[in-house]
Amino acid sequence: MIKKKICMLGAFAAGKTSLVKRHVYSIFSDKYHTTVGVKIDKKEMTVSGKEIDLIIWDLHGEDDFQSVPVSYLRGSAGFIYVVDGTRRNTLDVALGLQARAQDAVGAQPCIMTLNKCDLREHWEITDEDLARLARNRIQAIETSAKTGHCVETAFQTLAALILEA
Amino acid sequence: MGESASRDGSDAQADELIASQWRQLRELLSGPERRRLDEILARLNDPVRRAEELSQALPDAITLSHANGDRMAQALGPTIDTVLKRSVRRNPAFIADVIFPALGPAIRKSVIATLLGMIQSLNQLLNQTVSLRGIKWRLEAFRTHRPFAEVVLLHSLVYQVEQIFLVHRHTGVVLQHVASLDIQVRDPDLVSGMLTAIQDFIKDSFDAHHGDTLDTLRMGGDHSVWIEQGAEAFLAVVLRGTPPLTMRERFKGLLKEIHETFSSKWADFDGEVAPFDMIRPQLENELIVEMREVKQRASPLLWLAGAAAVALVLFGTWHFLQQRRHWQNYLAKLRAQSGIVVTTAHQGWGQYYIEGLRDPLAADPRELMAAAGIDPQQVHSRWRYYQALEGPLVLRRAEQILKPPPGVQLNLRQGVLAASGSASHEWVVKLSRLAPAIAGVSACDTRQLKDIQMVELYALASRLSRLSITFASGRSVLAPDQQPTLMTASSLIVRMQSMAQQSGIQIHIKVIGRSDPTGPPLLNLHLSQDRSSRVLRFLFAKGLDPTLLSPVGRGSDMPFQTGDAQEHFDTERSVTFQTLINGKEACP
Repeated sequence: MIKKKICMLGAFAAGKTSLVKRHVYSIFSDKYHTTVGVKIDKKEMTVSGKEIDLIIWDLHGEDDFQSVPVSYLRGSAGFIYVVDGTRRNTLDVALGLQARAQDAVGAQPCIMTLNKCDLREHWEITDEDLARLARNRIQAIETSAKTGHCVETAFQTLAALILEA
Repeated sequence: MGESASRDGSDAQADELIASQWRQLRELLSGPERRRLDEILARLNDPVRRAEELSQALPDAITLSHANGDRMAQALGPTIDTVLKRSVRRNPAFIADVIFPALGPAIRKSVIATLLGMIQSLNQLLNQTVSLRGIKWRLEAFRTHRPFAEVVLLHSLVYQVEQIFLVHRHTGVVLQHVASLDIQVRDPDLVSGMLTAIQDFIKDSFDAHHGDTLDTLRMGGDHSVWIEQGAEAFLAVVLRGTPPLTMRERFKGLLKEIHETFSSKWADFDGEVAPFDMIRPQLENELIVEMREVKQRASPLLWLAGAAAVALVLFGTWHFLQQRRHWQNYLAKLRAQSGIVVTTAHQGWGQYYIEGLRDPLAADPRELMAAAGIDPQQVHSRWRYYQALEGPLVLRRAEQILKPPPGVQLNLRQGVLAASGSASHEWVVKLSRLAPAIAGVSACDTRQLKDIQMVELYALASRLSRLSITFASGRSVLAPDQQPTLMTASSLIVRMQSMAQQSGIQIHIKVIGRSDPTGPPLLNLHLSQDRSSRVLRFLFAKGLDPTLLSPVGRGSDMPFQTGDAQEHFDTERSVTFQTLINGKEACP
């Protein structure tokens, strides 16, 4: 049994908590976000025949990525950055968070979930943005908290990346 | 040119000489050492020889290492773990065979320990339930709306180590978690993660100095979490109550030991927690429960209950023995009774069962029960009737059937029923008819029994036979002076007739006429017949039954006396009476 800590980061109201709510095991309420600033959830999964538990540190969304407590990022084996596809600035925040995390704990496997893909008509993420992510070797996955689209895939992808690392 | 060449040749020879001498010198100075070095190098480069030598030194080295501490054990631990795992995976049956002899006793020991724990808990619960203190706690539980068990725990628990988390400090991943069986546990991964986050949160929020860590969390009066920090992992110990401070040192030591045991794991920890399973038994040993030692002064209620129980047992035993004695006495009495044969008898659960044979005239078993102190309601009897041939019962049976009148005694000797005393003729007849038919009576003896009617009849017949009605010579007319005799005869016959009718005795009276021998015999015969008829007519006239009397004329053939005296002739000219009782002459 392998247990890995991962952190989930994103701008305020990017939809982090909603994204995983139906897909993880949780015993703590959302008020931990506003008090301690983090809520711990768990995702049990099997990747390539290996059992792996992802201990998800769901950090409170901050637009000011400098205010994210570094101590919470320590020991994380991977990161999920959540971007609201209908709000362009959340991508910038996510990239800022990614840079801060890299400074704090070094380069670790990560994915970027472009959330709210069910609202395509309001989409603000451009191909150029995606190309930029690709250049930075950040895998982007379009997800929808509303439909659950590709949420499992996102976890599977990150777990696979962590095991490969 | 030639000179030069010659000089070159001599130089070369000189150099050769010097080199040779140098070699000789070197051989003299370092030859032995060089050969030893070569030999050592050969040994080192020869794996077979090296293994051989190592195998000789290894046991001593291990022994020496054990004497100097347990570093060898710690170093070999992970290797042995790996070897064991591989061995188990490859051939589980072999390992099962090896550990089987140890497994049985271990399981037994564990089961016994668990059962003892349960019994102890049960004892405590019983004590707490029936004691005054227990009642007080129950009231407290009722008042504070808390479960009784919680109140009991609150009062009797010194401390309990409820849960222990071993957490990887860097990632917050729980490496091992143990908890008491009676504790409700939430997901250890999430709890340890949150615990790590809270530590970070407190450290960040309050600008803790380097090295300052959160070491205790306290909830309410009796719940706390001790956090013992190590370089790579921390222990979070969830406690209830107030543990001794020495326990903290104990956990420090444990954490240190864990760090040493897994020294090779920390650097490249990749989230794999399986290796830490080996520490689990050690952590489980630390789940200590310390209960307050309460002087078990038994409550008055408990004493009372105990005394009542002892009294109940004593009474039950006494009652049982008493009942058993009564039952044995009853059976002995029953077996001694005439006309009762007990075939089976047993006792169980306050009930008695008895079967056998019983003469209806024998003593009533129910009456004997009451006399023996046995409750008839508890006895289930099954009697089959029979006729006993024992003397007393035969006699009782005869008395029941014959119903002897007052004044009659019945006795039985060797099957002969003897009657004595006085009885009516009717009863005497009944005795003669029925006695031989009674079971156990072979014959009837009535020699000592007086038949009242018969005796009287005989007496009357005797008186009647003594009467004589006389006639004048050659005459058959009833003389007036014979009237009183005739009246007496009539009166006697009336009484006899009445008595015979009442008692069913057959009587018949012959009225015998006679004549004296004077005169021709034929005339005498007619005369005697005529005399008999005249007396008969007189008696008929008095209302006597004609069938009862019959006339007989005997002439002078059967005189009373012989001789020719005149007084003899006067006696012969007469009529007398002869009575037959049941066909036999009463006075022959």
